[in-house]
Amino acid sequence: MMEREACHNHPQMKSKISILMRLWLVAVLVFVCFCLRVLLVTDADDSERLVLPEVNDFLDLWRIDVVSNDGLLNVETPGTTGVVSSERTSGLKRRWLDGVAVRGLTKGVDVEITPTVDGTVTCFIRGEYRFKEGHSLPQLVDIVAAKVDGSAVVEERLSVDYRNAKRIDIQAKAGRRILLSVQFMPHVYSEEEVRILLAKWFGVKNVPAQAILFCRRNQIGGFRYWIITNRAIVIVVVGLFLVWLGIGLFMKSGRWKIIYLSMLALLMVMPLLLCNNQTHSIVEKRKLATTPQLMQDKKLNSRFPKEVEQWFGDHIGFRNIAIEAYKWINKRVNSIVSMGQGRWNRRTGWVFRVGGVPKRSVDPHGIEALTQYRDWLYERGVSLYLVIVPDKERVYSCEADTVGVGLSCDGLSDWREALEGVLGNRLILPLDALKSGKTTSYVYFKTSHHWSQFGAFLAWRKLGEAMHENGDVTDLSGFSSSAYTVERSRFVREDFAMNDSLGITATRYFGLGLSGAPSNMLNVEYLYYSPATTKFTKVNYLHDDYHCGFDFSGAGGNETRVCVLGNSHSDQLDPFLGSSFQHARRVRYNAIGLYKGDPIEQSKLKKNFAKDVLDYRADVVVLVLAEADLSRVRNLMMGE
Amino acid sequence: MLFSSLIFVYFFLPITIGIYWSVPRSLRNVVLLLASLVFYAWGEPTYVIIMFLTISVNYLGALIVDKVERGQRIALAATILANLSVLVYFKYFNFLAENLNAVFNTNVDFVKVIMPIGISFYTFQSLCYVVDVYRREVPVQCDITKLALYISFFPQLVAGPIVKYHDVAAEIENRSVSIDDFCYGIRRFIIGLAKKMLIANTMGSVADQIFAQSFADTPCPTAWIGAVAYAFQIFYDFSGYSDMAIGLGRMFGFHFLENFNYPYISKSITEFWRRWHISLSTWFRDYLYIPLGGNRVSPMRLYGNLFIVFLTTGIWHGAAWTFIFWGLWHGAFILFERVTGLHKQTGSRMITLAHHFYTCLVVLFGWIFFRSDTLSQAFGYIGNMLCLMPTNPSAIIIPCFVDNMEKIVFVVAAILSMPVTKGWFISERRPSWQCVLGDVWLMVLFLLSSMWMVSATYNPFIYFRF
Repeated sequence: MMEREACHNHPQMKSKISILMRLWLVAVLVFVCFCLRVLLVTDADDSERLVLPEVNDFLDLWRIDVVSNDGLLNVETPGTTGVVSSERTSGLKRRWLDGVAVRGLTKGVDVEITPTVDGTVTCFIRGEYRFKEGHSLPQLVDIVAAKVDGSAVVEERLSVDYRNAKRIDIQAKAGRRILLSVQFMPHVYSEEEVRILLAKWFGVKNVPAQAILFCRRNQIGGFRYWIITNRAIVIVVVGLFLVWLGIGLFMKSGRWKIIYLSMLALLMVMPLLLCNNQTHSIVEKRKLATTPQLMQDKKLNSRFPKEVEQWFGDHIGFRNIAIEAYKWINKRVNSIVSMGQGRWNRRTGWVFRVGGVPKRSVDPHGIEALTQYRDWLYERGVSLYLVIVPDKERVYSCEADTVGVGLSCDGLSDWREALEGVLGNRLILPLDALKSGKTTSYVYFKTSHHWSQFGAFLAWRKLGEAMHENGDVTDLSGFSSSAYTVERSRFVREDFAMNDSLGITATRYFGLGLSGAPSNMLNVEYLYYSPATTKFTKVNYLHDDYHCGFDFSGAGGNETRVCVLGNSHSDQLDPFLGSSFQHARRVRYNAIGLYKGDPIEQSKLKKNFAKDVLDYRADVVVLVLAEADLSRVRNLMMGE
Repeated sequence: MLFSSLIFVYFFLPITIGIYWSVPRSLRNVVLLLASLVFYAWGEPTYVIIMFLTISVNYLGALIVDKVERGQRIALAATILANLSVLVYFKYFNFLAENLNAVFNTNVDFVKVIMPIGISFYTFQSLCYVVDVYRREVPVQCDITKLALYISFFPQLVAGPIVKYHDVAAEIENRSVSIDDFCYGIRRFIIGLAKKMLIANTMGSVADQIFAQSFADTPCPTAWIGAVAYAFQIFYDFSGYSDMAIGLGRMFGFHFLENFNYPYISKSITEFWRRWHISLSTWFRDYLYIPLGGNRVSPMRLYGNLFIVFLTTGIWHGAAWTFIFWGLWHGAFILFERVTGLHKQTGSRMITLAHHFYTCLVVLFGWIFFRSDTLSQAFGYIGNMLCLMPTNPSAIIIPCFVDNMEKIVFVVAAILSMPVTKGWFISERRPSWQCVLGDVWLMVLFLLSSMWMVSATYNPFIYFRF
């Protein structure tokens, strides 16, 4: 040991170590440059793009992509006015909706957003454009390049998107300056579709999609292509090697503690120095904390320290990297993917909403509003039944994992007590039935927050029992499974489809970071009910496009005229309505296409659907309400 | 401000260290004092006034105790009374009022106060200083800034350890920090941070979920998991804070005594209290138990002294019957061990194992009282643990509460609660390769802890509706 130390202290040895350390530092510098090149330069910086209003001559606004935090937005663009997007907005869905996005050069179009919902609305907007007839990218590039320096080149390449999806980029560049970047997502468009689009928009004809991909790979070429597609591996391996080398050198030089402290100091100071000033977080889809003010209205802001902490937490350097890393670890270790709206449990293959079951206190105004609605109906000889659809997380708490918190003390029992006070046995809360029914088959969809038809049937049976007790139905055959042919099917609600739908759970697997849906997620057979002997007709009576209301002419044994007012959960009741009643009507109170604004906040159930209920001469109104909407009963009832 | 917050780790600490090291030695105490006051004022600025009051009272009290020839005891008693009055008012008034109202049917109004952070710790430190001066163990501190620094020094202000004045008096006057000291401090701080962020918080989430359940929804195995998770949570939380405090102290040249020494390997409750929250138990020993006569008294008096000490220990931890019961619970077993001589018994491996088992059980059941809001809740939970309570057949089973990460942390927590890795990361006697490997690993732990801290600010906006 002594000899070794003596050897290290020898002047010649010291000088050798010193040279090696310098070489090591140079290698680290090169490595850092490489990382920056690969990580930053391949993803274009917004600030480098040009903003040229002339682009409007070439592009048509094709779609406005709005992600808002509350309800719908009225989007006005040159040439178009009105609700452009009639579907619900969901960041992940809309972001990749059609698999193609023109990036850059979009600032030339003025887009004005007018929130139709009161209050502060935070939104993100993205325009998607297509070339006007007779124009194509090369023409545009020529003109744009001529305007800049005449040396723009069109580059095509295959790269890996940050969500691990392969992406084809076609970029027009002048030097390192990106003029225009067009992206194709091959996993959204089939290769055939890519080919068609290329032919249509860019004048590239008769090029098989496979050849395009192949050609692109050749163009990028061997080692560079491999590095781009495997950059994480390269960085980790080279980084580890350099760390190992450095540690050895510094140990030998006896300067380890200084290096250790320097590295820690760097780790602690860098996030502070790199605090950013962003106002919004794209990843989290929320407004970040604003700069705290020490004085507010000439008074000392007592919340200043708290606000500073919030601001610091939201703006600290490397925050997004840390969050991504945390999510990655959570995904690997816990098999859980959290992505804003939903969290996907890889192990169980279930998707749940973030946050589990929130605590819900009874809203006395909601109870009062419901009482008034009940009385309003009673005065007209109509009975009111309320079916509450429990949160999926409440029924499948085990599959959700770690959402157990508050399951038994979150206020549902208080709600039940309060609602029973208003409705008595006309309140249907099928929680126990669903919990016991889940051992037979799925009572909710694995990939959606909606109950399955089997789950709906269990509630329907309970409803039938209650109606029978109250003398509203005499024939219970339609409430029994024997009235139906029960089939098992792998059909999955449209929520999981690639295209947009009314589904609003975070079931699109782009957001889940998957290259494909795992079998334990999709390979599921759900129970579906078809009337065994009787037929019924379903007439869309409100609007052909929006499918908001249906009249059922059935062969059920009950003459009671039933009007079901419900949200998407009520869709599953269709086969039962026609089989149990001779006449039934179902109205979607959150049919977005018909009613502007937030369906719950502004639908004015009593006002808007009074006519439906009265015109139909309903004897019974069945209101289907999701547990999550309990706290908004007042808005739903009163429309205020 | 918490040690395990982003603002502390990435803002307050680097800036404080930077300023501390860039000012002349003569100003370093002032820098630390100012930093401590900012640290304290961060949570609730108004309570800095109480801190100033405590400092002033003890400064003057100690001066009087030191200077006057006669009436020292009166001055001491008055200072102690003043300290305890503040503590009682802020911490125990409502508890006393509630119980007085219940027992005597009185109508004492509650006071609307929030307990100042760390009041139990700095009150005890203040008492320690005055008593040390009275005992002539240390000279009186004439410089109020130095006394203020002792009382308000931010590393031990919020959660201890309770530093005795005679342990740090010399370092307040004059201290030096070597690079070894600083490295040790950093390492210790990271270990504490990792204990808090990675283990205690993870265990805490398991315990919180299980303790939030009704008794009917908590089957026996789940109740045990919850109790064990809480035992780990409280140990790693508290010892993590102590580690961070010791590390921070070392970075500024202070040598605080250890506060925990693997308490869960104890073979008796007596031993447990030699290993658990050492600064508190030694405080009670030096400033309560020994003044009461210690063990050099008759057996009955001895038992009485022990009873008083553990009753006080319970009360010190919180103003609730659960804490009092927890203190007495431990006191009762210490008495039992005194009477039977259990704590001195040694024997075969099986007997040792049985002793371990007994200690773990006593401590575990004790934590239930510590964790519960009311005694009835605690007894109900214990009923669940002993399978005495009827539970809902469809009650949530264990896997719902423990995900893979938590399972891993459970194992790690169990291993690290034993001295298997002692000295791996901080001992200066390690071979150089182990030193580097340990430091690299600590850096990884630091990054992981930071990741966990940042993830607490991750707040995705849920904007979708039905």
